[in-house]
Amino acid sequence: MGMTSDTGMIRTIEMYRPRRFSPTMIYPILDWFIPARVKETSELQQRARMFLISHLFGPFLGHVITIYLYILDPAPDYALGVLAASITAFWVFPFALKWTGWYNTLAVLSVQNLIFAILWGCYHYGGLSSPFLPWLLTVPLLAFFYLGSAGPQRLLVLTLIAANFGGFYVAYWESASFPIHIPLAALSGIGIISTLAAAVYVSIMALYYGNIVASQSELEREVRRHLATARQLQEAKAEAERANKAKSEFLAKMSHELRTPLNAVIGYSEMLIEEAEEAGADEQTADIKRIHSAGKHLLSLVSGVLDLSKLEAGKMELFAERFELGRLIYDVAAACEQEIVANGNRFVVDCVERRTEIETDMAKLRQAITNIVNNAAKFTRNGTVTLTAGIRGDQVEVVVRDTGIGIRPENLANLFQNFGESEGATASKYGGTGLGLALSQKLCRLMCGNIEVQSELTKGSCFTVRIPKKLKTHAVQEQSGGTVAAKSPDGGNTILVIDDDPAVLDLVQRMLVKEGYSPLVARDAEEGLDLARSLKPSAILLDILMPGTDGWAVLEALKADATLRNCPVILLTTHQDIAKGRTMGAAVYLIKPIDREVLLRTVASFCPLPSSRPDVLQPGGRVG
Amino acid sequence: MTKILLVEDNEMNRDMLGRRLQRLGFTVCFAVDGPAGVATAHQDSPDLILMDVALGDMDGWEATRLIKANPETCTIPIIALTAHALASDRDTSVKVGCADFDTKPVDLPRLLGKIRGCLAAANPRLLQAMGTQGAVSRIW
Repeated sequence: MGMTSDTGMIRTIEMYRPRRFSPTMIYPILDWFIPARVKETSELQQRARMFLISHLFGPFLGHVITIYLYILDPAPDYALGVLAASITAFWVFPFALKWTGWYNTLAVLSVQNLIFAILWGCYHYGGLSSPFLPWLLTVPLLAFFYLGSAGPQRLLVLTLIAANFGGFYVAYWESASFPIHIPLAALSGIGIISTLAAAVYVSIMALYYGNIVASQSELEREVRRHLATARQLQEAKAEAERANKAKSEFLAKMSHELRTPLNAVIGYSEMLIEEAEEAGADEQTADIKRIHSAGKHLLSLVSGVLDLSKLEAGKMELFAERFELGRLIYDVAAACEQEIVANGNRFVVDCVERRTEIETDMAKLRQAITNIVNNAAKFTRNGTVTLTAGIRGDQVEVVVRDTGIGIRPENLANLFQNFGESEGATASKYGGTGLGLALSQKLCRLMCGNIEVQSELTKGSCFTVRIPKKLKTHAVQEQSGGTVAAKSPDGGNTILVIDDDPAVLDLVQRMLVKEGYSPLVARDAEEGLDLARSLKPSAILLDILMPGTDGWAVLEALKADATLRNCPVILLTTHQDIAKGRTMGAAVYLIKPIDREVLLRTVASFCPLPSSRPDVLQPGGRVG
Repeated sequence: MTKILLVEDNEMNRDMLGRRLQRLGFTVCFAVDGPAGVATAHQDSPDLILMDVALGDMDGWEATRLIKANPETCTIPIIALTAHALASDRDTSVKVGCADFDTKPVDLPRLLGKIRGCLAAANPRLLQAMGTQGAVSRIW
């Protein structure tokens, strides 16, 4: 009960709390008078604001005295008139500032006018016992507010005061006395009012000044906080980069260090198997074979980690060689047969075009397919695993079909992620490293190919590997082959260009328009992804180096989106991140500065333009 | 009897590969580092050299270069063994005069194919002696 009523009260207080007055509220009025040149320096602007406050409000206090004198004086004469004019003149200064912009000159004139008004008042009303005397205190205060307190200004103000006192003394000396307009005794009332007015005036100025100092130090603290945060962020970034590099180095080193002893385990167990088989010691042979296969499994894990870290660092090299498709397929079949059969499965291999020669990195393709077949073997019990290979146009197509447990639709999306295997019970029942498929996909993409998967739960899965028959080593030439499947099906000509450099955007846009494409441009990653999702372009030109979210992140997002995955992405980059780009699924990369011919040829390979433009060439289209 | 020189600094690898080759009927002699490899190649004049690339001070490439520079040993075919199957390693192996190139860990049947191929290329009479199976391996 108590708790609720307490919080209720706090909320009420907060809701009805009035807005606190702050001097910043009158800034709009003050700033109207301040010319642009003065606003350029924030320090000068602050001084001009002080100047304006005292000139707009000060005369009200000054005129309290003149009105009082007017009432007291039986016959108001020139003395009161000059005093009133002098005080009223302060109201002219803000406008003079707005129209002339001569801040320093006006400030000096204003100080001079103030000294004059005070000494004039002293001279005519009471001499050295004048009620105007306390106002002298405001002179240096205001002068330093207006002009600052640097050496030259200080000297100027003091000279000004001294000169005025000089004039005051000369006037006194000439007449040897002060004129008496009002008897001194009658001035005692105004003495109190004048002192009070001076005190109020000084207090207002002091409060205002204090407020500025406070807000400035608040600002400084804010700036310092921001600087500190920025520095911390920078340090954190550097730290993260160091950590990531250390991680890669550690992984690579560990993998390497682990491989040496593992190879010894595997090698010696192989020797022992050979010896035991010769000696006919079957029981021993079986045990040693277990050691051997466990060693092999561990080695494949270690190699997988090493390969993945190489792929992710863009350090995987490709080595193309010519070989017959059949050799590859039977290598894979021989490597996987044992595991497939061990799970009670039938293994069907179908490769009609076995004599067809292809030219690509055999070791990496073999690794990619082996991982998929092993995956099929792992998740299929007493079923069938079918390995089919053939040539489809420019591409090699390898299909691995199984009648296993299938993959849940929600798991399909991250199937090719590192350690993206179905989790929990499934993984523990069927084993596996969770690296195989991720590695396969990355290897295929490195060879300008792709892996697609279809699956039905409890019915089985079907993996389709497509890679170019001939591996192109120069990325710019890749457009001609290998990516035919990625062409937009409706022959659309919408090209999305994502680049942060407006000059590049403009240039590319004009090149494309001239050829008859409809380019869309996006200045940053977010805009680019939005446009890609809403308009489904036929191809995307993507800059890698962008502030904020960079091109890699965009590429990743595009490849993660099922509706955009097949949209060919052409990387524009100053880096030659070929391998990384391919791993992540980019179709082609172009190195900046962009060559017009190459760009257009590349784009045309994905989005061929209709050979004739109907709006130009149709015979009946001419309008009369 | 075919004599193979195995230049390998890792004791276990040397032992493993050496014993398996011996069991297959080869005569195997060993060297534990580059200089020893060059010296043994000269003294024992083997029919073939298996050269680990990652040796100590003098690496396998340098040792190969020295062996190939010596007219008495320059005809001995050398197969380089490296831990990494990098294209740059292959390029280097060609440049320094290796007859072939294989990766570690050794896949014995594959290495055997390469050994037979190199021996056959170096000495055609041996090809007849071993049958035709050795000719499959690619020669650089």
